[in-house]
Amino acid sequence: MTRRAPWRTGLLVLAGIVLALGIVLPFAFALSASLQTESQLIKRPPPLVAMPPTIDNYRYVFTGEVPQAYAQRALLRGSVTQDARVLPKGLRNSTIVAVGTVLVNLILGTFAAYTFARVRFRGRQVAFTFILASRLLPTMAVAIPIYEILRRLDLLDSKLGLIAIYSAFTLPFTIWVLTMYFRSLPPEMEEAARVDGCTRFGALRYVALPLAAPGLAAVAAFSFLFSYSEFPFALFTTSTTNAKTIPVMVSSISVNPDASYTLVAVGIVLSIFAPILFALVFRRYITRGLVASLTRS
Amino acid sequence: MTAPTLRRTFRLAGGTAYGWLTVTPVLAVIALFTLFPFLYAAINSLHRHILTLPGSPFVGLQNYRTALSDSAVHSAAVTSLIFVAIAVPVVTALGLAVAVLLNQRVKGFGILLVLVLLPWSVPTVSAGIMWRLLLHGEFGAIDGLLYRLGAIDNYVQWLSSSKLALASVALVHVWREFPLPAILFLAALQTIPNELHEAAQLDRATAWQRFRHVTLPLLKAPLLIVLIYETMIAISAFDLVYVLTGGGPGSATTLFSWYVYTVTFKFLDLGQGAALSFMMAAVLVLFIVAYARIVRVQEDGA
Amino acid sequence: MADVVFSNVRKVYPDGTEAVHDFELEIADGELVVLVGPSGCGKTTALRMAAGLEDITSGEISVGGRVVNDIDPRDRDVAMVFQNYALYPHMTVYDNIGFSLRIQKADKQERDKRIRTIARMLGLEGDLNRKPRQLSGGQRQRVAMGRAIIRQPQAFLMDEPLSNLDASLRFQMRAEIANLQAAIEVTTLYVTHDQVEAMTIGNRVAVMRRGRLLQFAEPQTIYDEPVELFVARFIGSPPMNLVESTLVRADGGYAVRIGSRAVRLDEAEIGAVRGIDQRVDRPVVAGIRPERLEDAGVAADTPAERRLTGQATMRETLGSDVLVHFDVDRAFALSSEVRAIAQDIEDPVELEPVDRQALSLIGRFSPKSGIRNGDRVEVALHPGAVQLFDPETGRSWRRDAEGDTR
Repeated sequence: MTRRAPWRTGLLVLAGIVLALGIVLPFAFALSASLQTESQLIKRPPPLVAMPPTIDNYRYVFTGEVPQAYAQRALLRGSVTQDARVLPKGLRNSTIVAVGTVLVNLILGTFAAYTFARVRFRGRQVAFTFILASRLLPTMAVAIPIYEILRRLDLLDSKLGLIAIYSAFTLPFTIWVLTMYFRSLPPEMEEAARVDGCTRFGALRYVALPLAAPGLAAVAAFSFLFSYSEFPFALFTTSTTNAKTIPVMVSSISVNPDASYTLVAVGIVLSIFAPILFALVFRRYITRGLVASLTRS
Repeated sequence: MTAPTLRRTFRLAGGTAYGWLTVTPVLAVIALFTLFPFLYAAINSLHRHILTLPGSPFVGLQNYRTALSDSAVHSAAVTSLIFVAIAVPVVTALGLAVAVLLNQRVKGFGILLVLVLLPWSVPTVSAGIMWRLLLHGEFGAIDGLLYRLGAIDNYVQWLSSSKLALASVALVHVWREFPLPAILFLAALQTIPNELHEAAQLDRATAWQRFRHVTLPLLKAPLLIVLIYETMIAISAFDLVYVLTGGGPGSATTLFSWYVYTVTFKFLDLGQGAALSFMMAAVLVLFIVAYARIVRVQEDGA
Repeated sequence: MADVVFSNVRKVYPDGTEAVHDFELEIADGELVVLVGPSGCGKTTALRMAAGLEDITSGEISVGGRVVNDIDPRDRDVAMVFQNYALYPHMTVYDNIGFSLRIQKADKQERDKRIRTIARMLGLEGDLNRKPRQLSGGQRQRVAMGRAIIRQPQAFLMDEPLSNLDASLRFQMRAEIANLQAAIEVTTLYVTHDQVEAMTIGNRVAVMRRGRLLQFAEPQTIYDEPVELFVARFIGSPPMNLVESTLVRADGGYAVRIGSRAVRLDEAEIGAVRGIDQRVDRPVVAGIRPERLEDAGVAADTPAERRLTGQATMRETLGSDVLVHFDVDRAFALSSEVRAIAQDIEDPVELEPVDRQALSLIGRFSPKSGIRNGDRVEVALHPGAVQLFDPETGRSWRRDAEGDTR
């Protein structure tokens, strides 16, 4: 490629900046809103930068200490909703559910995928197709039946119940990606391991698994992000802080007309903290995994 | 020697036994939480099952017939179609544009790759609430900015104006979803060898012509996938509606999935709700088939 | 006793292709047998069946007197060196070599000692902490060997271990492998498609083609007394010259027509064939190795009836010898049928017809020969140079070749 004309570079950089701003500004605003008091925020237009920033809102959420600003103006007191106090519990629930889903995916999914990739057995194709096809079913259709099933199993309003559902939703993708990944490994190394003395399981443990680490990372990331963000089913099946995940809590605060916006903002920030962290750490695996899986439809 | 004989039987069955042993747990989970609910819902759709009324008699295809003649259903279907018609092309085009942008070798663009993932990785409801604050009719930042710049005289009611609400939801939807097509297209672009572009340049093709004749044809596969996936997502969009508009104002943003939600959880008409979901699924399948046809026809025609 | 025996082994794939047919091979304890043949001939399949990586459709394979058909690879006490080495990329050289011991939960000290001994033996001491991707081809090959040796197995199975190395490295490693095997004295089955490798490394060589074993003998025997056209052409470089001819009587003896000449068969050549009398006036394929031809100007005392005439078309100077391609007077190239047999091609119709081309032979002459391109030549045959083959079956007319059941 010939050297690009400088004005073109300038244009591209400009576009890049616009893109970056378009992505970052909403986050920045939410963050900034969470660091302000209600009176600072409710202005036309609302300030972008918090001056001065205050962590009172966070303090309230985590310790129950009502921010100074609100204590003074009784009018605003009502907007300091108790709902916000349970956000930390929501964080805990979401994390547990997400981690649980990841574990189920990694364990069950890995075994099944390795089998699909390496073992020839009767009905293999049928089982594989069944698993993949299950993703095509619409969410709403299965919402009520799943509620019923959970109820019968006494898993309503439980983190375990959520882990079970989310696993059912994420396993097909996991197995698809991992099967492809295992298949792409040259079989010689596993054969060498078996001649060297490994059982099939040993070959998986010592050779295939370490080499499939990137695939496993991608799968873990997807499962985590899915479970953390999932909303409809968490909404339908949870009712107390025992199991309510953070999206459910944040959304209920936000539809509460009395809730202070700053607290809503805190809710947002808390709810996006873990996924963003995960996405940043695992981004390479996510992008590679996305591409690899979706290009092999 | 018994050991070899035992091994032999284990080996013959060993493939099959081991295979099913490792696969059954997964099948069980999926069957329990996907297959059975599906069948249950299918059966439900054939019964009149309203929680506030006693009994649930079999009514055959009644639910489906009612749905087809219900104006609320029509309205929701149309709203969804409009939404899909806006969201999917915009998301695809934006994703493609961003991919092309990121594919240019400009210093510092590496960080964009990181940023681009962010909207997609946060919970949809969180993204929705974030934008709700921004689009707030009284205290939203967007209105504030536009007002300051002099672009508008009065604050725009993004989410409570029946004309703008759907577009606003679409906007947030696009913001949240575009990273996926962007990443897919970017990966596809990067597999196009430089030599093709160079050859086209030597053939005196302009940048646009190069794009049309070299780049686009090679993007057919990812394009199909993106279209299918994004349509699926757009049709089942629920989270955003819940936190942005609650279906309103009126029924301006009552997407089909939202309507199904109201039928199931507000009217408590489970039979109807199930029937509507299946119809939704059927439409989705039609879309997929249509896309596949179109993309393939273009290939032959080209 | 760690011999390896294949008895009547057959391998048929689910789709019906028969990869190995009626395979019989006995590798004596401590012997290095090379299994050689063109790609697709089934040699690798046979090897993998011995390792347990492929199922045996019928027949028996035994190692050290124990039938291993139904025994898992890990319990067969054999070691395998793969074509691509199959080193574990995520482990260091140290871990790669010691992997099998680690699986067996061998004592750590003992394991360390063995690994280091082997590393020293293979010249890998300095590389123990490196990963495979940091090693050269030759080093990787040695790590693969080390991984196999450390287990002190009853047999080594090698699948074209040198084909991924460049020529000079291959030459060097060939010798190393041969020496190593002799030193350790472990029974080895070595698969390759390179006939030079086969001849130089093997104690005995087994030639395979299309799933069948054609000949199993010492290298020199295979060279001197090939039982089939295919073996005759496959082994030896440049390949044996083949001429389609007829056996005729001449001057109280026998001769084969080659071009304008009738080449007389000498005692050795006649004696090798059983019942040569009954074969008179029958079509025959005469095979003459290039090494058995000489510039008549150099081998001046060769009688006229042991000479060919022709015209030189190319001269390749090797330094130690000279390769001269020459067209034989009034003789025509091989028919496609015979070429098919000699070159392992299924359908002779696939070959381009070359009927009207001149018969072109190659001779390996002494460097003293002054022949140049375009010269008229007279080429002398060494004693015993001519071997006779059946044009339809490709089988040699040697009396001992008849005895084989194939």
